[in-house]
Amino acid sequence: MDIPKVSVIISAFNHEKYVAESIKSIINQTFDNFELIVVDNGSSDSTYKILKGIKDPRIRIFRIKKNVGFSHALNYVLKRTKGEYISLFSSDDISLPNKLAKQVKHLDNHLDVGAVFSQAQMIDEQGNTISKHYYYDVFNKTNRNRFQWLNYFFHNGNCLCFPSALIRKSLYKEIQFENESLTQLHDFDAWIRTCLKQNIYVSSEKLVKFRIRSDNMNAGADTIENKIRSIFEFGQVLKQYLKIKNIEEFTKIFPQSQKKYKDINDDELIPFYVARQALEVEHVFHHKFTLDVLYDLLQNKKIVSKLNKQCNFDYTDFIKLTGQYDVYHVNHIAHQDELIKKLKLQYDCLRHPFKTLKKQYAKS
Amino acid sequence: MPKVSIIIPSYNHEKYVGYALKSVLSQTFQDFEIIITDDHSSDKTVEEIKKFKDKRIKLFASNKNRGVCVAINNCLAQAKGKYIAHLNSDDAFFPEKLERQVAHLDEHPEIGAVFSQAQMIDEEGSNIPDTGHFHGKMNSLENRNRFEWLNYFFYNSRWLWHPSMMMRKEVYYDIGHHNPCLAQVQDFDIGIKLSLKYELHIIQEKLTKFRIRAGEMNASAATPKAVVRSMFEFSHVLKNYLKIKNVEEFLKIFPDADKKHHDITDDELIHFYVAREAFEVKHVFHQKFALDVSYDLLQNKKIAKKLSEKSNFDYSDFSRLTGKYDIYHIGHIAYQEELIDKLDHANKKLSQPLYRVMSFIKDAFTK
Repeated sequence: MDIPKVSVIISAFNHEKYVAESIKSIINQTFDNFELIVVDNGSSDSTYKILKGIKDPRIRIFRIKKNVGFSHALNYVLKRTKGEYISLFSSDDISLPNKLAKQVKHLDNHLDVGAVFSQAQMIDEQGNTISKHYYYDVFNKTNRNRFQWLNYFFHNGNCLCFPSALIRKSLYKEIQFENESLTQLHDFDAWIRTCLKQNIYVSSEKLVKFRIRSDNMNAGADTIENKIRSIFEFGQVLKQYLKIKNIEEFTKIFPQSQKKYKDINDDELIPFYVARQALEVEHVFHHKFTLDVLYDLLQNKKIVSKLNKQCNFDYTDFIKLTGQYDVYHVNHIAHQDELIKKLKLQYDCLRHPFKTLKKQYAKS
Repeated sequence: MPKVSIIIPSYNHEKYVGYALKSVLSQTFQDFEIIITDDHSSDKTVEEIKKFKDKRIKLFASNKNRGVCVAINNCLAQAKGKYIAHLNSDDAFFPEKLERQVAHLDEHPEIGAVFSQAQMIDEEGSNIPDTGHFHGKMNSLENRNRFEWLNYFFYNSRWLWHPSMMMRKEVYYDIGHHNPCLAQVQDFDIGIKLSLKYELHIIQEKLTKFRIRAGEMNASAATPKAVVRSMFEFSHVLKNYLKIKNVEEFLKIFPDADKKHHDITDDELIHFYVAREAFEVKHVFHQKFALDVSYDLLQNKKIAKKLSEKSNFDYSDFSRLTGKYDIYHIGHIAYQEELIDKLDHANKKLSQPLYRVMSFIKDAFTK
């Protein structure tokens, strides 16, 4: 058998309602030189049975008995791919028929581009088009160069639609595939690592339909655990920016920084420049990142001396920051506790005026 | 060369520094030097120090406020004594302090540093009983070996009376200087570093005076900024525990860990064992430390494989933990906000006269 040009990979989990349609949208692609590798990631419904029932010579199906992390399942499949390009896909989304044809052509014709994405059409559980959703704006961003993307990611987070991605396997391998320590932001982390190496292209055409589940069933849904985990992970993902190679690259990613500070000229101080930049973003995880990075930097005496001379930054500046940035929100919580106390007293006064007055009187 | 160097970082203590110096100069043991680094006081601290004409006093005045650790490190760099005694510019020694501690270090070469109990005093110098302040509990700490101390420090995040410390200079050089990134828990940091290598001993008598300032004047007082800073610093100071050398040492520090987990056998997994213990401590800075350490560990594929095989801990376990430990307290904040909204809403409703009359009537009937 010839080596396929594209490996489409899917990690399926409990999508019995959608998986057949999802696979069909791949099988029906106008571009047909691909293999489709699906792993059932420990589904407890009939997803695996449905998968086994699909007959197409290009499809290979694997099964992980006990559900593992999504990025772990992806890496499991990635190891088994043969294609030159990897198409990432999900078991509840839908590809338009010409998706692969268009994207393969783009990668073939643009050797400087490492991965291509597209904008996405949101659909609901019944497949109806949705126009008003938080994700709608998120995914539909116009293309820019990799430095501009890195700037965007740094400040705003992810905006690339996972099942729209087609990435060169050589590049994917070079960035070591998916980071399995991440659950919510594994793809975001991968895009940053991608952009640190090569340009990407996001087409303004909507080549995929992205399903929004109504019951908080999307992997990225707004549960409290997912929120907590996302915040933690964002703080870790920011570490990728410490790998910026030199001043030239840093300045391309953060042109505004060069204008603001006149001291950006030392490759060895890039972690400091990045940390300083992060402090300006109004997210607690950026601040946590900054403080942790600076702390580690300041353990190196040579760097301390450089920071002091070149950036006018010393231990006392750092100590000011560690008192200022309340990453655990302890002061905010104390402030809210005060407010709650006041409101409760107010409530008691309104609801039981005589009893409360008597109580207050007894106290004094 | 003097036998003892007393090092004093001074800062805005014009009222107390004279008292501190007098308490040193009137020691029964006199073979010492006093090295003071003033951290750019804005009051008359330096003038007060200069009133003392004793040649054993060496004063360095910084031209800028650089933080207490830089001041201490400067003192250390100048110190010539065999033993280093710490003193804050608002605390003091009892007359026999140096004599007793020098004798102890002379007689016990295995001890790296010696401490004492402390008498708390107020701003006027009057005694505060041990029960009068939570620091007083430090006077009931019993001696223990360094492993037991490390266990105590890990769970309690509390140190000893720092101005009672007398440490061998070579020990100081070995464990490293005060970390200038720290401004709240630098002493605690030194304490852990000390205990990772050397035994310590507390002389169970009050040989030191420790001043408790009114309001928020102690450097360790719980101002909002100090609280925030301490929490940050604790999470980094815990990193010292990652230097535990091997399983044997780990088990001496955390004997209970062996009973809970039966997998503690691999020196390469010490970071994991430490993080696992930290997860169980109900402090947000322990949990933050544990999450960060675990994350970094899992970036190493060889370690990740070992963890999965030997400790039954894999990426999905980690993912559970990252969703569980709400170090930023966003869950709690959301809960508070909801409560505030509810109360606010109820109060607005209650403020309407008709509603109030109705609820009075309702109350009257239910009674």
